[in-house]
Amino acid sequence: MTTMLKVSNLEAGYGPIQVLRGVDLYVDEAEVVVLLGANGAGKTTTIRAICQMIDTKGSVDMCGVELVGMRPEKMAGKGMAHVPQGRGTFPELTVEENLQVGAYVRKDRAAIREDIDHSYTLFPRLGERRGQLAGSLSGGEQQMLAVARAMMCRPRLLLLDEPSLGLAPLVIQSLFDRFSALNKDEGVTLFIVEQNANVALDIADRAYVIEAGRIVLTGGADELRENDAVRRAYLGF
Amino acid sequence: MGILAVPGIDDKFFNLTLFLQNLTNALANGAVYALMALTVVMIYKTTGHLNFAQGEMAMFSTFIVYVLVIEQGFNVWAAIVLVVLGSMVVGAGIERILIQPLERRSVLAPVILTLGLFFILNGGAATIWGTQPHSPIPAPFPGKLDDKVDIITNRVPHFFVTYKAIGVWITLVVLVLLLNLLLKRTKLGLAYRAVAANAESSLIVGIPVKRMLMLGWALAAGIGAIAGAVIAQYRNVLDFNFMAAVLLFGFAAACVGGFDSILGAVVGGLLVGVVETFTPALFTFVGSELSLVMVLLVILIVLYFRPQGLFGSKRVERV
Amino acid sequence: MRSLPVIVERKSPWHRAFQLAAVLAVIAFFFFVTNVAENFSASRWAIALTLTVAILGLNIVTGYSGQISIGHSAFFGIGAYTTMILIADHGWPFLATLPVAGALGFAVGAVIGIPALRIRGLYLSLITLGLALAFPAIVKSDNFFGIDFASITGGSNGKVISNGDVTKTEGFHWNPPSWAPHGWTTNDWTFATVFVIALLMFAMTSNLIRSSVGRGLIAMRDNETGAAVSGVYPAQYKVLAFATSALVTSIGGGCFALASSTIGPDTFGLQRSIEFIAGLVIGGVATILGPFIGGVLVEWLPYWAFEVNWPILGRLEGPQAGVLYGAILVVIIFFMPGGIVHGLRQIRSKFVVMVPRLPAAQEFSTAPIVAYELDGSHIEPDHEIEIAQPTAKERYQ
Repeated sequence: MTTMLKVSNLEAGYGPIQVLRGVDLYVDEAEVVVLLGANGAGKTTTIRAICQMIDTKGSVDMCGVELVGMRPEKMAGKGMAHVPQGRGTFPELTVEENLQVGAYVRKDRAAIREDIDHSYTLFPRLGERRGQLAGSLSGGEQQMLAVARAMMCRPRLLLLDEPSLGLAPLVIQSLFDRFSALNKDEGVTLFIVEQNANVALDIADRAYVIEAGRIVLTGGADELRENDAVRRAYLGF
Repeated sequence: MGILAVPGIDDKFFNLTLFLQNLTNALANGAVYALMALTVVMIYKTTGHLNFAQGEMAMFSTFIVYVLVIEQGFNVWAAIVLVVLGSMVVGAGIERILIQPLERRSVLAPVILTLGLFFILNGGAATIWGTQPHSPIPAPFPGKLDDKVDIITNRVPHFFVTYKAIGVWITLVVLVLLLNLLLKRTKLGLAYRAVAANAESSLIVGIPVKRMLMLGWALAAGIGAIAGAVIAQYRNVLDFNFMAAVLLFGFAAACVGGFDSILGAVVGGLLVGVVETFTPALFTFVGSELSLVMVLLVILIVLYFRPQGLFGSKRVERV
Repeated sequence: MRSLPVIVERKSPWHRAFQLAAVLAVIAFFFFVTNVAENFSASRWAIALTLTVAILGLNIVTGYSGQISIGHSAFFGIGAYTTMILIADHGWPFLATLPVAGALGFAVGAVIGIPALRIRGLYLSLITLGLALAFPAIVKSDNFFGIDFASITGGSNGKVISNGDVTKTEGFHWNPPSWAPHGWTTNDWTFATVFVIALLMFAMTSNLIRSSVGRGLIAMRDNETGAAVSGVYPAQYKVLAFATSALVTSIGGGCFALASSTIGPDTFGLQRSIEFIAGLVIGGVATILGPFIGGVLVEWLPYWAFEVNWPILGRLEGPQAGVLYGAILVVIIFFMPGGIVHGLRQIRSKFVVMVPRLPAAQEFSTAPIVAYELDGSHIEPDHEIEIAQPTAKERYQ
């Protein structure tokens, strides 16, 4: 099993505030890895640091390529897609245009068209609304659109930042079922940052727990689910 | 005609040909303002800034057209095309070299920079070409006295539409169509609109956001150059100050129409033109030098009820 | 050779020495203008001071509250015309007109400020731009919603009050009183008057900024949500800030009427507003000294630009000064965005650093050290315990 992403000693912050104090983690090909943590622990900062959206120190290695120091717009070309917190859709563009933009780095028009149609198969509700402005979609639909858009660049690695935020429980369940399908059927490697540990651990292979900018716990998803500290802190037992 | 003698209303206004003439002037001026409003929107959509030097950039470009056509003998449309291309390069350069480093510092900094550019270009033009009006003015459209379409000649005053006015309208329509094509049908246009919609997500999908900001400035500069040449002919004036007031009306039009809407720029421009011409004509208690004030009042009213402008997106209000 | 930077505590003798030096500089400036410089320049300096007061007003709203106003020329004009009309047409004494000018400015500022609650930054700058354009137009108009402004204001011809030897309208003279130093002209007396008023305005504004009101404004500028949560209500503060800044600028306008003795509507248009902004930015936003430097520059720069024989360029013509102006703005905004005052502070901090006053060393070491066992019995220290307090130098080095 090859390692797709290897993060070593990652340090990052916002201006004078340092948030990540040396984070180490790795994600193997075709795995689903979850990063759990409370608010303010550094989950979103970790994803933003990996995507080079903020200044980082340390190493982020993706399939042998060192990403630290690269500009954020280069990430899509390296096969990394990111669904940011709050969906990050383009509200004034239509659903179809959102998907087209997702494929910006690609040049194979026929295949792009196929992929768009494939997205409509995977997410029929999007197909129904393909001419609508993305800003008029519901929260759940926007999340699906954001994921579909991320898939449009045929990424090897998909980073998801708190996908369950603001969604109703039924929607969350169906969303995570799709993530699982993406991973098993399409072979996409997933790295999911979540507060909702229950749903996330269900589909994960492995998980990390981050606290105050450092990884404090790691293990298989089932292991962590049985772990007392995790149960108390994140699963509400 | 039997118009009531309502105090405050000037009933000369209701003379048919006079009304039509006023309407034509209003819409032609409105088209001029719409052109400037387009430049405002192009830059605002992606960068969130206003370029106070836009009018002077257009003026400078127009002077270069003048030099090429009148002093060097170029064909007027060839000169315009050349100058438009050159302006686009310069506009993109200004954004990259002068504006981008300042974005981080403060909200005030880019505004001050464009003010500084205003003075440099204004003073520069006056230094190079003097302060006196220049003639003859390069004529993209047939502009002699009888280059017009007579429509009503059996009343006094006559009603006619000059070719120049038709030219302004055609320019506006063609530009709007071209912009629409660019923005809605090309990949570059899609990227530009994506950056306008969500700059961070644009980075994520791989769009070089900085280049899109430069594109906004390039488009604005290009449109400004065309606008300058057309306006100089329509208003029959070419001196170093001729674009200053036009830019202000352009801002007013963008305000009314919505700072990030092309349709808004056009509608806003026409509306401003109508208010500017009609209020002194219709109301006796407003002198013609106050048309600017009336326009400003209209802006205030529109903004009060709809802060994002008629067609602007809600986000504009949050800036 | 001492090591730099030297550390100076506030309220220490060195600090007092600096403050004394500043006061002496101000006095020297006054003396220079009234007695040393040529008579004509006293009147220019008076005008420069009125501009500094105007920019001081702008600073309240743009520097400290972060709202860009391109319309302060209108408030300047309101103050000037109020004073002018009251003196020339109604025979008021000059000083009595200033509170009226200020009050009118405050009122108009409040009226503009209230719609400002609904619109943000960008729109406010355009509305104020509209104000700057509207003011001269309204002043010149003879028919604005039925009011003939031109007859009150003199329209395009402007208004005049005499000052000194040239008597165009009867009655008004601003001559030095009998107790003034011998040799003072009306220009000197005008300058002295404006000087005192300017000092007062600077002192008042400085107090305002340092007060809780001022801190509220700065909090609002930097983080509106945070400020609201702390009890600083953006709505009230914005209107208050705008109205107060209009008041100050209006008073500057009133003084301008005195100093310039002739005013016309186009002096109070867009160009004036932009001069104010430029002066503020070049001088130093959100500082007290900045407006002074800015005002002086705005008045004297054209003069210096034209009189100096520049290397290579020779003497500058009118439009070329505009290029110089723009170039200075661009250079300042790139290399010294805090303005000249900030630049000077950077230089000063290489030599001298002001630190807050530290509590005196004795306050600690005289307190007896008392220790107790767990059972409550008192432990006697077996020797005097001395605590050495670090000196200011050691703390901050």
